[in-house]
Amino acid sequence: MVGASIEVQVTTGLWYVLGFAAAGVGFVFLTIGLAWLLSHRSKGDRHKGLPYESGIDTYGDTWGRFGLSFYIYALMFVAFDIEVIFIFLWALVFRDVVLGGFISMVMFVGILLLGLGYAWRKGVLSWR
Amino acid sequence: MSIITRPWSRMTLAGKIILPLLLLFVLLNILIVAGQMTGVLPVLVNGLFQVINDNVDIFRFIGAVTALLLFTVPAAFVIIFMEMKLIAFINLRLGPNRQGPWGVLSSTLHGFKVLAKEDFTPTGADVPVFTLAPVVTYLGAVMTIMVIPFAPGLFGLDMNLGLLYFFAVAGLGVIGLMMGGWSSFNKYSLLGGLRAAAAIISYEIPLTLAVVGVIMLTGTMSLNAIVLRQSGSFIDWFAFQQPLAFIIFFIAATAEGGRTPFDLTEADSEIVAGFATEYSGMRFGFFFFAEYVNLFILSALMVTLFLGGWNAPLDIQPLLDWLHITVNSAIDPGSLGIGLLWIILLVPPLAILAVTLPIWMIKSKWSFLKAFIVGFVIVNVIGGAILAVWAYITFPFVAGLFWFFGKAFTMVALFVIMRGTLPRVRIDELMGFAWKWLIPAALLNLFVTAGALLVLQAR
Amino acid sequence: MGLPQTIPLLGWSWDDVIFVVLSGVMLGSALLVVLGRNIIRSGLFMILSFAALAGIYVLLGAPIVAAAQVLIYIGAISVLILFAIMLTQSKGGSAALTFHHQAKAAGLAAGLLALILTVTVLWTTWPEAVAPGVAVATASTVVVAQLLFSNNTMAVEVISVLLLAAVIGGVFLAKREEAPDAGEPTPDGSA
Repeated sequence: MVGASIEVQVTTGLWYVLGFAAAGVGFVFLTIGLAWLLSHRSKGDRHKGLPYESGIDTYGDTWGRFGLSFYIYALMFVAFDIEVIFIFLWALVFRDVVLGGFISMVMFVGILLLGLGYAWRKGVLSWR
Repeated sequence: MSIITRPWSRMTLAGKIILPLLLLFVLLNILIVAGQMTGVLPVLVNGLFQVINDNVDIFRFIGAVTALLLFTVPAAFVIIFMEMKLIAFINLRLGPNRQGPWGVLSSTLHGFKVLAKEDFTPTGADVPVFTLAPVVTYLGAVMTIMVIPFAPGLFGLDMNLGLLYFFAVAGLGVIGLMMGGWSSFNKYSLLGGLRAAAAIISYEIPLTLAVVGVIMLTGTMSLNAIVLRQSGSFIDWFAFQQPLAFIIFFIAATAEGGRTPFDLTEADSEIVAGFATEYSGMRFGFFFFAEYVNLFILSALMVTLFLGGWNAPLDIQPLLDWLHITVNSAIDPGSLGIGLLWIILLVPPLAILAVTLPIWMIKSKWSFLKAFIVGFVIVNVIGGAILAVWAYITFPFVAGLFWFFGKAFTMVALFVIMRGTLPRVRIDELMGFAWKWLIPAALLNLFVTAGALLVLQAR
Repeated sequence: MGLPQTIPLLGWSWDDVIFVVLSGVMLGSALLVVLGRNIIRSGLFMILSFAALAGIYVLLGAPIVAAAQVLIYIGAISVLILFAIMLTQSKGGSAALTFHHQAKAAGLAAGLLALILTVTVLWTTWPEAVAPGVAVATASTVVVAQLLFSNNTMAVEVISVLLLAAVIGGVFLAKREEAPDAGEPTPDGSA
């Protein structure tokens, strides 16, 4: 019976999340649609559709490539995000797993900090 | 026909609005009386209540979703007005002062102005992605509001995994920013989007790690349970048990919300307006809207986790007991019956007259109308205050809402004051600070908390 | 006058509707990922596919897996992939993507994988679920966490070693990539 009530709760949450997302999307599109009906539109000339670069015509490749710095941050973020999930779970049951759990988490975070330290050492964390 | 049209064309705009409303009101009254006389209305009302009772879950869902979605609109307007006025005060300007008293309507009118603005799509843009980007950003901001407890019993949904849900959904916003930056076909948009995404993901780690101490102390991820654990006086708030976590969370939230000093995402002196450069009209409006909703939600989460949520800072019940004051809150308006209607109809006019007449006599220069208006305002203010106090004492959710919004808007005001006083950091300082200072500090806080708990348990 | 317990005519429970919709969205968007020609849209459809899969995890009674799916796959890995696309693709690049040249091989591999999965699913003798609720109760978050940090600590440590390897590898590659064209300014002027 307990299990049944948990299951009901979980799927209720799914209904809520999906319903809320649908309602939110509906709200945004209704408002954008209303604005589309209310607002004026003009075609303008060629310059109206150009990318805005403070008033001058666009210069160079518009979809240019950017430095690798962004990518390294995203990579580090993936590693630490996975770590966060485990830390959350660990914190949730910390009162039950006590010392053993504490040591295993110290090791877990310590190993990941080696990665952070390596990146730091290599100067990747400093923005270039 | 001209008998109707000529007076109509002479009426002012206010009259044109009020007259149809008045007619509608009269019509409704006639319908209600007729319904009561024939007995149709009670049957309909009972049937409606029956349907609501049978489908209480569905109606609760619809009510919660509607209330939460619509709530974001006035919340954003209030914050925008507060920001304009506070920054004007800091800059020794007047700020908005034309639209309504003290300019209170200015942000609302700005909102309606955006509705009427041209919503232009640049030539090179990827149209579906360009349109969906603000939707995703707004969803990422607004869907988190579902797990935040506003007052006892007032929340969208109490999830066991509330905090995890919050951070998971908040991650959607990044994707919206990148979509907007990419689809605009503008190098400044793309750079702004990438910068915004890099900054937000960097600060998301300390933001989530700072919360872990609270989870450890409470043993739950449900935001409702976390608030309940902080009941009592303000000493029980987690800001005092987890001060380092609170500071880390505050700094990371500043960067997450894209607020000064970390507002590199729209540093207009470097990258025009960031990812939103090519946006205009309502699609830009939603980016802007999402930003302020996000600011409110981050403040609300901070209040929920560290500042006691809807708990009052001091419990006044012992004081009342000590003074032998008992508040009889058991006034049931329903028991008064038809008398209630007479009280509502008779007391306000009599009170207004009772205030107006002395004013009119003392201030002999004032016309009766002026004295009447002054009396009307005074009676309404006093009556409103009495009603508010009564509601505060009688209904726990009113008291909860009062404290929750009081604290949340105080936090918002703090963010605004920071924007008015602090300069913007450089991007290398921004990224380095998150990885080299905040994450180690958050991990330190985590292990210190764990160690302290271990020591406490061992004793 | 409440809603009926099951859908009229079909006899499904209401949660089955979510399953049908979510699996439809997941498969449809997954197809669009590989069939579309615009690589950014492929990435975005992939996110949609991940989201639908998270919903299916919730239906299966594993909300913690669903939360991890949203947090890691949508919040982190998608961002990583979008970054990778935005950093490597440019308007001047080739419109036909690399994997379009490998469509036949990919189709063959997908068909083979589907065959293997079907055979495995059909041949395994699955344990009978006692009741729909019981499996869910044992899979609740706290129980998962307790199992993870009491009996299966080794697995957690192995995961952290894996993450360490990923971080070090990424950092190493990035440093090596950067060496030849150091000093050449990138368009954002910050290099």
